[in-house]
Amino acid sequence: MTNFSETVQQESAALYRFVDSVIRRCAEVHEYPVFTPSSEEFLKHVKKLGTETKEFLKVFPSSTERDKDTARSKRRKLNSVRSGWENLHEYLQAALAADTLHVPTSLIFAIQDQINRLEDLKDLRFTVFHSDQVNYLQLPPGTVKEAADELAYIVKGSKFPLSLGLIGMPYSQADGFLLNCLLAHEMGHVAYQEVYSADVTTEIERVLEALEKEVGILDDQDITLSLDTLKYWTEEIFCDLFAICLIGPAYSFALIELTGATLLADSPDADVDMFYSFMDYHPAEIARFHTHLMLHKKLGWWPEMEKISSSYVEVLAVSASKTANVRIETTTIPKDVGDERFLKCFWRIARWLVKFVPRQVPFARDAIQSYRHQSDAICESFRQAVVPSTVVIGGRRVHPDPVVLINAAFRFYLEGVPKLIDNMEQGDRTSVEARSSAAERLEMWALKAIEDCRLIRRAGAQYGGHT
Amino acid sequence: MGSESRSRYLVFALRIRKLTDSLIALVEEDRYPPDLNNGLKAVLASLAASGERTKVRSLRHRGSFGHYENALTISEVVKAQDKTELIQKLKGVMSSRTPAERRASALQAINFFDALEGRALYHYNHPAPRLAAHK
Repeated sequence: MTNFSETVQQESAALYRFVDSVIRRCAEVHEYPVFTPSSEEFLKHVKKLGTETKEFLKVFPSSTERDKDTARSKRRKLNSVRSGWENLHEYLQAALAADTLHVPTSLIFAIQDQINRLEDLKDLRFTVFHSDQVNYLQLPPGTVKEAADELAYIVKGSKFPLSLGLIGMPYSQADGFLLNCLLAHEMGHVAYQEVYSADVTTEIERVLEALEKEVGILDDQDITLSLDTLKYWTEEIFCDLFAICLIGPAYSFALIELTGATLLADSPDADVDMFYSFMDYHPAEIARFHTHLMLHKKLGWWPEMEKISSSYVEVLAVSASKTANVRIETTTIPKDVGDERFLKCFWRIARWLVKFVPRQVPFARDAIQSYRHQSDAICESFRQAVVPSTVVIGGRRVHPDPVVLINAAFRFYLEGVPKLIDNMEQGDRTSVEARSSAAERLEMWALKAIEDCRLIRRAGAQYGGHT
Repeated sequence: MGSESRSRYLVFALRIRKLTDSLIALVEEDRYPPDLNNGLKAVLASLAASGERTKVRSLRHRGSFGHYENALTISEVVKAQDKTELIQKLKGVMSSRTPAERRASALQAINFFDALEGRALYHYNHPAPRLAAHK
């Protein structure tokens, strides 16, 4: 028969070696490559928690010998600790790959600056990690912090740094600007979990209580599933609307680009049914676009967006009339409730969110007027292949705000790229390659302008507004 | 299974382990950790509701144990055991008067929590679509 103590020693040592090999990766971080301060903080935390776990493991075998009645349960603890570390392991390499040369730092800081304008989120900062999925929307690291803290409690280690959010992006988009506007949504998940989830959950419960009056009280699994499903869908809509309040219509355009939703503009519904499906964790794209449209109209962005000649704008315009055709693809909706009633619950919450979210972001309208006055000049700079850190409007030199730059750049991407190609030597606006190359340059200039703008602002703050 | 749902199983397993550690402290040192009562009450609420009609408002009393993944795990483990007896055992931890009684009921609770932890880790390590898991 195997000796119990010997087995526990062996298992502890194996886990010790695993944790050691993981945190050695953090120790290999030196001066190069450079990481953002928040990424360094994340890596330092993992290293510290690893060291604490190793200390815990050193004394663990002897602790199992204290009482034979609890020994077997204690031994099982190693399984949970190992799973906790396997979970962190998934994110560590992804964070190490995302050094400052491989993330759109200026855009990330610009969005973070916007979030930090909110009193409750003034200290929030983000660690970016790379993913091999070409989808920002399925990378919710929300529970990573929770799991890390539970693991820390068990090994008597340190808690995850306060106000440090984890966000994921596809590794291929390191230099990109356009799709990376979706990072505002990912940051929204962190903001939601830190500040807004309690209010939103109360509203979801209110809606489900009204449903209970209609269909009766549900059984335990059905009600927890209904609540969780609505929470998942609602959080996605919250993050979409929050992103729009932070960076304006560019977020909607980026989502349309990622999902290929321009098909919606001129296809019969049956041909593009993938946009109409509510899934376990995500609402249907068409429903999301409809809520975007409601918010753009409410904030006052819509008249500016309508001026842009693009199928991307058409997608939003037709979304309202097409949402009647949405359906639920998951069969986990309780039979007593039915899909139609459940969707009604979703829409009640979605409409409530369209009012709730802008109330949380009081500056959501601030950039619209500047965009109206400055976007033509910014687009003209792009057409002339000039980084629009400074533009001249009415004889005055103006440094555009990052949100204005982000939206003007997207406008130019949607309708101005052929004009940029015309300005290039041997430019051929019918060439896909030329268009791709022009868009790539536009992304580079936009990121540079955002970076300059941030520097100018900081210098302005430092020297009392004289830049 | 979405990564969020999968991580929920891990968080659940770790939270259960926290409670188990507190129960072990009770067994080995006759020390009643301050957060043990709240944790036990949340599990008891989930256990009592398992397989029953449940008001949405009552999920609040279950705190972080009110998620679907947790309800599912509890129902899977309870299937193999007698629910009423389990409730009595958990209540016994809070109401026992003598150290010997406390130790006995805590050991019984530990067995149940070990089963919960193991089942949650199984789901974490073997992700399945929600539909397959539901009923």
